[in-house]
Amino acid sequence: MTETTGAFFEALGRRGHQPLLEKISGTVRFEVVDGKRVERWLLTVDKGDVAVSRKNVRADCTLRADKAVFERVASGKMNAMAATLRGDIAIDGDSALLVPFQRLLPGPPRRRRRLRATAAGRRA
Amino acid sequence: MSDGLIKILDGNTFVVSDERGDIEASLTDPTGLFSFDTRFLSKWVLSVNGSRLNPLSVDDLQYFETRFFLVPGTGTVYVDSKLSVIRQRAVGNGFHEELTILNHDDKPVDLTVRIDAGCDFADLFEVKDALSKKGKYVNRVEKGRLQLVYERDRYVRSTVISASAPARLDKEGLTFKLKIGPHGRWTTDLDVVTAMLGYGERHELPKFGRGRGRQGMERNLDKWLDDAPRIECDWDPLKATYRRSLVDLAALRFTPPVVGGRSLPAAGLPWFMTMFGRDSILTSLQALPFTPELAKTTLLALGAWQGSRIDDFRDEDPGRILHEMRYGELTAFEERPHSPYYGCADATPLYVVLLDEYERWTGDRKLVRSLELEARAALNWIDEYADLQGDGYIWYQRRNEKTGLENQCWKDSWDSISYRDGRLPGFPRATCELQGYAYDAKMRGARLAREVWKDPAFADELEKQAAELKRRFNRDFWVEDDEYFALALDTEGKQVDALASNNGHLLWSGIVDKAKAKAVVRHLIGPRLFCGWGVRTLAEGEARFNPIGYHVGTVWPFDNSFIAWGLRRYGFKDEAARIAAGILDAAEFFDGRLPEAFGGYERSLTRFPVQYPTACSPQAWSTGAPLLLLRTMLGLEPVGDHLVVDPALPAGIGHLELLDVPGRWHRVDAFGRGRVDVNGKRASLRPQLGVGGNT
Repeated sequence: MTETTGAFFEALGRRGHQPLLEKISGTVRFEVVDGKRVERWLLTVDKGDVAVSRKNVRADCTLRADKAVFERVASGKMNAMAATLRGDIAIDGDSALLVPFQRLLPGPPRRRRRLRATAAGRRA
Repeated sequence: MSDGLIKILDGNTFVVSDERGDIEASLTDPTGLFSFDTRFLSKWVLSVNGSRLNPLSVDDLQYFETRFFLVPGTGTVYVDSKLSVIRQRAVGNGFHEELTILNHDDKPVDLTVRIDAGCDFADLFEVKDALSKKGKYVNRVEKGRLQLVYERDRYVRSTVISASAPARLDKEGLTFKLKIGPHGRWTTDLDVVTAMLGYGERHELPKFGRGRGRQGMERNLDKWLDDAPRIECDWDPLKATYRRSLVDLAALRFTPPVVGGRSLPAAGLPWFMTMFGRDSILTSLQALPFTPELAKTTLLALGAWQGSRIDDFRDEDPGRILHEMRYGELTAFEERPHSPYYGCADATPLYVVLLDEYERWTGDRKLVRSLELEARAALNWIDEYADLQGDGYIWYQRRNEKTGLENQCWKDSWDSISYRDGRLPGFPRATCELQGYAYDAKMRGARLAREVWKDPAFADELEKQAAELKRRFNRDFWVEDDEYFALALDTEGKQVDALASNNGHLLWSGIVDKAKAKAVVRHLIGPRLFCGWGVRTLAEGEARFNPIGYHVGTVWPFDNSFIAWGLRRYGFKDEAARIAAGILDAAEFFDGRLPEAFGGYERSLTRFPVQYPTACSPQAWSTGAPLLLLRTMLGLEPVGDHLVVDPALPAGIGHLELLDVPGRWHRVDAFGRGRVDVNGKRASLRPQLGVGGNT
């Protein structure tokens, strides 16, 4: 099992209902390529209810990438949309499902604190 | 066309060629076949017996199709005039070209027809900024097709060229050897198909998409025009402008891969054939009374891409609506942040404004319910992420300091936000119209919360915040000595005090105290801002004023359409009619297609509107301007389940009917008769409409 990717999918499966995905129903199959091995995960979204399994079945959309790419995407270090445009992730099937999926991904690790004043002094 | 370039387009695929139909692009010029922000063909040159062809005429058949009539040689060699060459080209996923040669002689003729083809696969950003490529080119001939390929790591883009007639293919083009009998003809179909290949995908040889096809596109355009309201008017140029707007809007429709094949407006040709938060929202607002489905798609697509995390490179925050989406190589390799880029301070409040306005027109509460979360996240962004100074205003400052946008309001050029004396403020900046949009978003959000989401407590809270914002704004931004709203606040809370067209957007938003409106209107139609064609972006007399400065003196038709809407909102019907008259008059000079911007010269000085040199055309929100002006002239306003019509037309327009206006009332007709005298005391420059001089 790949570490970050596996942990990511298992955590995703535990998140249950995702309000942001309520307009979405569909299945996405992930093929994580590790040399000659291919690890498969199946993400099922039913009007926002998210479930993850290892079933090896056809899906509405398949995303295929090297393990190293998935590790970085799952940890927020790589942007899924840019990776797809670059060809590091291949999409087959209904590519529209990439959009809601990428919203479940974490943001990049922060290098510095964002510019923002504290709440003090508001409503002057 | 004025620049000698022929453009056909469909969504984000477009072809720009010369009048012969040839493409010979250099890195810096925007000719070629483009799709998804990438050039897929930079060379496409036809020759017959070794010589180039001369154009006789070009027929623009449809926005997606054109026909070139050509003759060989220089036109002085009589023997060559025995041949005619016709290229008929339609854009699809690539383009399809039907090449026909007619022999008018009574003797047979032997010909060598050659098409030179090649591609640099430039990213549109590279064309714009003249950057060089990092990958490698592989051209090959395979299975009777010429394949042009560009590879950089796993990034692969390819163009596949094929012909129906027998041809000899080499890596640089196609050659046809043929004989045409007396009075005979020869023809071949040429398919140029684009492909974006991902990791592990096979290099299949795709076919020209028959999905929509030419006939499908024709039917689609006919239906689009049929579904829109019909116009009847005594003033013919207005009818022509209206039709031009509808057709251009159809051409600019773009189908992003999230919304089940529906379309939203892309921003403009050639640089902006993609989804933009601000442009797509404002154009959808302008077009609501005519084609409400654009608004629906815009809301769904922008909602699907709404920011969900903090990403400094993309200037993304949770709840933020995107600025711009791109698909080219620089975006793919994260040399540009457009995957998508979120650095825009107005699209997020405007998203809520559009959602409410859409419901008021269509009564589509189902959509409003389904986007409740997105709307709440957008409202939350205003307070939680945009208030960089902690004083209750929207501020902007990019976090991506290398490739992010410095100015995140619609006037996004470097010198657009200035003090009267020309100094530029530092960052962050709080421009005035952003506060107006925030006010409007809160008020409209409150209405939706009360009526659709059934959350009266949230509605009360939003209204309280809005009232408080309005009170502070009218105190902090009001320039006492000259009675208008400052362009922005600087980081010390001081007024960036230039007088600009943004005051009109403030009227539109409703944030202006009633007691202050009259003074604001006096400025908008006064001699410093109003030039006779429309309201200038920056007032004459300000240090940075320049009548052909991009955001510092030119007139933007879209800006004026929202200013007119603002004037109506505060009851200044005649002033709104005057602006409509000026802009629609200008439209006639541009054959009904308003450019992005034109010069802010005094109308009596130039007598015709001077086009801004590099203006983008057609551009979505300029295309939408005449539509919104029709709405404001007729005073169309949804009230409950009814459409209220309260016309105030410029006198020269005569009778105006807008038939079958769609909405929650199903279809309603609107009528008006011109009565507002916009001439002032000065002589008319044009017979139909007045000069709109400075009274």
